[in-house]
Amino acid sequence: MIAGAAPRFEWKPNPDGATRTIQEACEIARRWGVEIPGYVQFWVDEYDYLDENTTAKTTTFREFEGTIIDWSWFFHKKTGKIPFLIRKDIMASDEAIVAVIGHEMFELERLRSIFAEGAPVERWEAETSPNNPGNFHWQAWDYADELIARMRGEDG
Amino acid sequence: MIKKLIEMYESGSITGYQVMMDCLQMLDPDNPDLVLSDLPEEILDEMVKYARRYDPRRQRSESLIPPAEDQVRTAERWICARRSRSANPVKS
Repeated sequence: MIAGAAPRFEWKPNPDGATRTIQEACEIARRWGVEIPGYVQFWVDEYDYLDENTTAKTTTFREFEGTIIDWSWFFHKKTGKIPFLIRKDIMASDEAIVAVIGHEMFELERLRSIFAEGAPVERWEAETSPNNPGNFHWQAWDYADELIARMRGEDG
Repeated sequence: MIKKLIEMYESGSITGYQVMMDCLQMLDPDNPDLVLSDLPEEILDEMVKYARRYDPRRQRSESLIPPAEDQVRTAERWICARRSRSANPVKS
């Protein structure tokens, strides 16, 4: 597997079979160093909205090139938060929780640095596509791998 | 599916933009009521804004394809017609 395209580690299920709540998941992620801003809200995907290849997601923009995406577009207008859905099975693995939340928060923070002032949709797609080596999405999986290595005590 | 999207939106787990986009992509131009009739007004507002900036002459992504023009224009007409009706109620 090429580094960065997807997580390098296979996440282990919790040995006791425990499934975490969203609150517990965020606490676990924070314990391993993931910063979750107050304007982010995670949700378990109770409706099976996500497909089997998607571990978590926020809004997907489908616009013609040149459309300026403003940072406010990421937010739910009623809650004032940026919502992220997490696939249900992720909650049964602390490693998966840390990797997925870590990945999403890393990517979001990088996107914020670009989209705080507004930027064209093609920039958003370039940075979030799994087919664009070295972009924020790839960097975010590298970061997630570092977190898992730390959890396993393999970070040297 | 529409009910599910609205529930997710109302709970805060997906944005209005996401609901708007998912609905446009599943809209049948021959039967727009099926998708549009139960949507909250703020989602219809998002849809009208999207329709106004929708310009298929511009380039688009190969992977994140916007909804088709007939879906967008049908939705726009449906929303405008409904709002026009409610702004001018028929008097008996």
